[in-house]
Amino acid sequence: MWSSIEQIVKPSDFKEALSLQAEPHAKLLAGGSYLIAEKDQTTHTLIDINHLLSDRVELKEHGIYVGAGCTLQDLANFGDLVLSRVIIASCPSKNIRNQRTLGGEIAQARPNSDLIVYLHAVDAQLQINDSGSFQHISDWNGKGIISRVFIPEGDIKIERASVIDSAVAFVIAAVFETPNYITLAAGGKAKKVCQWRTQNPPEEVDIRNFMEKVESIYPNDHFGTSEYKAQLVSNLIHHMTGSA
Amino acid sequence: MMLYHPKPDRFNLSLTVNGEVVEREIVTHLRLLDFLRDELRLTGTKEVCGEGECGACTIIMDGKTVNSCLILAVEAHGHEIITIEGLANMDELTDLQRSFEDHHAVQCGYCIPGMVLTGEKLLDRNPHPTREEIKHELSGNICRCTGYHKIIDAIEHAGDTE
Repeated sequence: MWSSIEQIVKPSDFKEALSLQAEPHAKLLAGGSYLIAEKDQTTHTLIDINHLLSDRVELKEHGIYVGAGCTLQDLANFGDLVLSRVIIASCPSKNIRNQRTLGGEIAQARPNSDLIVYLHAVDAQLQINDSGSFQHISDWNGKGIISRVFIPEGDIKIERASVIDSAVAFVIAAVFETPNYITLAAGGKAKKVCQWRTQNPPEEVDIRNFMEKVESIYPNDHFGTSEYKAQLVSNLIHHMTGSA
Repeated sequence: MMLYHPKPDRFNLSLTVNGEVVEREIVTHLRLLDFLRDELRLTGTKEVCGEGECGACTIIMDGKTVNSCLILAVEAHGHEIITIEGLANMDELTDLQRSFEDHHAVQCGYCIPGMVLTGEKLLDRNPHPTREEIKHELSGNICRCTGYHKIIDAIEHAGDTE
């Protein structure tokens, strides 16, 4: 892509960045490692928003608030062991983790990112365009600029199925439990991440309902049929919740 | 809206490379890797995959290892860069560079500048890393010749006295 860039603009605030983003052939640059690697020659203008984004990580009573400009490596260093493991699985190269930002990772919304499945399981909340309010990651329509992320703390488990351990997973399943409710999330080589919240403990019918949703996100491909992958998700969830 | 440069396709770049302030007018789309190799003739930084997979183009930017093939030169404006040429002079190698020699850790040599810079950053932080810690740190650096054992040996034993 880099050879097609004609200009890089530096907006003074979010409002200006959003109006620039509406222009054809313009893309946001924050972290931006994927922009240089992709072969899209239609990008002519980069909107550098790095200076608008905080990289602060703040530990609060019920979780952590993370500036969207925080790199994955800084977050891995700050977060607990599960979050660190998930980040490393999502992005094995430390060099890239030093460049890739949390906001960029969420904006990319790749369902085969362990981190994206994790954030759906914990039902992370996003602050868009530096506004006062937060919205759930599952409600975000992809519009606007992520400025801050709230990652709730709790009992999170995540497991993956891949051809070999170091490969990108084709099925990822996560379970987030609180005393009152449980959130299930599934992703991998899928159309999107599937999220489902129900009472804790879940009943078998709840998991069956979730499976129906899950089956629709997976294509039939060389990794297996959608039914096979949904069954894998079911097995992983049963394993993580300890249910029969 | 502030443009980096009045002319949209040119930019006055100023950064510190290996301790020296460098100023150049460059085209906006120039990658940092190309700037280092073609403008400054610092060819120790290698290009292999050009899309962030291999780590041959590893440099240290503000104290962190990054892939220079995935960074535009304008993003390095005002920042501090260290390349393999900035580690030592021709008369005296660093302990780690000597260790790479002693352990025969170099074959074709293309990945080695990145491996050495990554190893140096690890040893700065942790002078006695375990083999597992070394493998973890080298996760972004690929070697297709050595099978990694000798590279890990070299980092593990850097600074050991005979």
